[in-house]
Amino acid sequence: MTTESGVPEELHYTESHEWVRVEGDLVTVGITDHAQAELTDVVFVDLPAVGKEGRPKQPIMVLESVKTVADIYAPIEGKISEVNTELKAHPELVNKDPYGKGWLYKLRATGKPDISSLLDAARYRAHVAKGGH
Amino acid sequence: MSGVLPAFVSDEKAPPIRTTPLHALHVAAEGHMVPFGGWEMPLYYTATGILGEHRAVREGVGLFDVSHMGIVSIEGKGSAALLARRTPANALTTAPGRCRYSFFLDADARMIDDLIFTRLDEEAEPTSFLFVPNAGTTPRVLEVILQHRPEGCQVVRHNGEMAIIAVQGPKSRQLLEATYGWDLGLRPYTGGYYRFGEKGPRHFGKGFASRILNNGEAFVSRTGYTGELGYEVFVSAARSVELWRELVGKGAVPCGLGARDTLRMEKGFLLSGVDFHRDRTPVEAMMDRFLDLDHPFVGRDVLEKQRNEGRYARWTGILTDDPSVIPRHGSPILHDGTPVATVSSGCLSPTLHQGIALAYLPAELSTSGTRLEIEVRGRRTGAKVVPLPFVPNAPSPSAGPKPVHVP
Repeated sequence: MTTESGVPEELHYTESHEWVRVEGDLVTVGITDHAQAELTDVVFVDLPAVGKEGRPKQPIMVLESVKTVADIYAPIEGKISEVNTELKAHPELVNKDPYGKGWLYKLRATGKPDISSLLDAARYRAHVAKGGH
Repeated sequence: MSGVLPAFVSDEKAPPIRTTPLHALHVAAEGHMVPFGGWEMPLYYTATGILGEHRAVREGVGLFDVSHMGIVSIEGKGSAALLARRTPANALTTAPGRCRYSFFLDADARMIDDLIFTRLDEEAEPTSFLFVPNAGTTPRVLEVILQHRPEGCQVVRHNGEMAIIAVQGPKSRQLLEATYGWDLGLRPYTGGYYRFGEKGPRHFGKGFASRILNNGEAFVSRTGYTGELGYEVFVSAARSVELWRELVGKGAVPCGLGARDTLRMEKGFLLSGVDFHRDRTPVEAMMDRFLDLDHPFVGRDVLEKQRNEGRYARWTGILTDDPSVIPRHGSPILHDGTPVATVSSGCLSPTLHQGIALAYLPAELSTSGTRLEIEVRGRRTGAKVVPLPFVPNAPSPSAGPKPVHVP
């Protein structure tokens, strides 16, 4: 479960502990190292269907861990373009490499991605530090 | 919106949070610390995770800090009568060194707690007991014990000055014997005093605290909560730190509460505060074999009546068909489309890779093979009643009788 811990500078974050990488209109989403540590070992990843529409603050998929179950949200409005099928056989990648091989899905943003409600690394660190759930 | 982060709640309302003598070691080993029963304890360690720790206990040997559980000595005249009155296990007829799994009941026979007590003396009449209730319930249990304590009976809580380390797994005996020179030919559910470097076990006798704290002895019992061969070692706080380091140095894997929970679920063991909280009786929990009906105790009439009437919901194991629908505490259980119960404890069994659930089911649905459904967050899976434990007990590697695994 050891991870390259911390909060990479180049990513954006949500208060619900997703990380977000924005490249043009392509948005990649995963959960943060902090989130995987709180979840405990992920044992099942219920990936969204390609083409499914995501809206901010709405659950789009589910992670099941040994201890609990967690909704994952779409941080930006768009359509799912690709999912990390590797996670079907290897859900532990979410714990082992949350910012790399443990990515969850990509979506094509509807229009220019609106990142105004996302946190940068410094603000996300502060959110975690004050015990943000 | 709470997002991904759950709260691993047991008893978070009761500050101040206490720490065990091993707390600094857990933190240094990157234990993921959570509040539990009024204590801050490791849920798992970053290097291993719950699944790695679970596997270590099933295949090798794991270490658990269980010093948060109540460590209470009850000694002097009247001790046995006090315990015999308060629990269904008959302390008056308990042999020296015997560990008894039992319950703390209210007047309606509802379980306030489950516990183990061990007789520590070999007098003609029993006069000395070690009494271990659960962390969160210890204050309540002690309050009642102290209320009914007879003159001449001393009740002392040793948390802080002592620790309990559970050494669990098929290789536990080998590891402890090789490390400390002990002969651990203990039968299941017995214990004895051991000195480090001496074969032991030593004589029973008075002065539990003084033997552990001043003479540097360990009290070792063949008990645990994992269903594997295992031991619980009671030592002084100072000695516990060395012991933990020594055993980790020899390959034992530190394990947290997460693995403790999945390991006990695979064996069908009850978790105090989750599977009962003053709402269920030991008869409903199918614990009849732990009830000595040869003596009067609080709640006995109710238990006998319930048993005679026979129409009570009973503790049952349920295996699910679809591993992607993982049963959780509170998930509805249906029979022919009608809700009949809710899941009390459930998880994806790390050993079986199937969903397992424990629940109190109506008597007529509790027989093996009964088809059910479990609903989790709007999704349903077929399920069936199976005998407990879910994961069969391994044959004992030591000579002697097959271990009887109880919580």
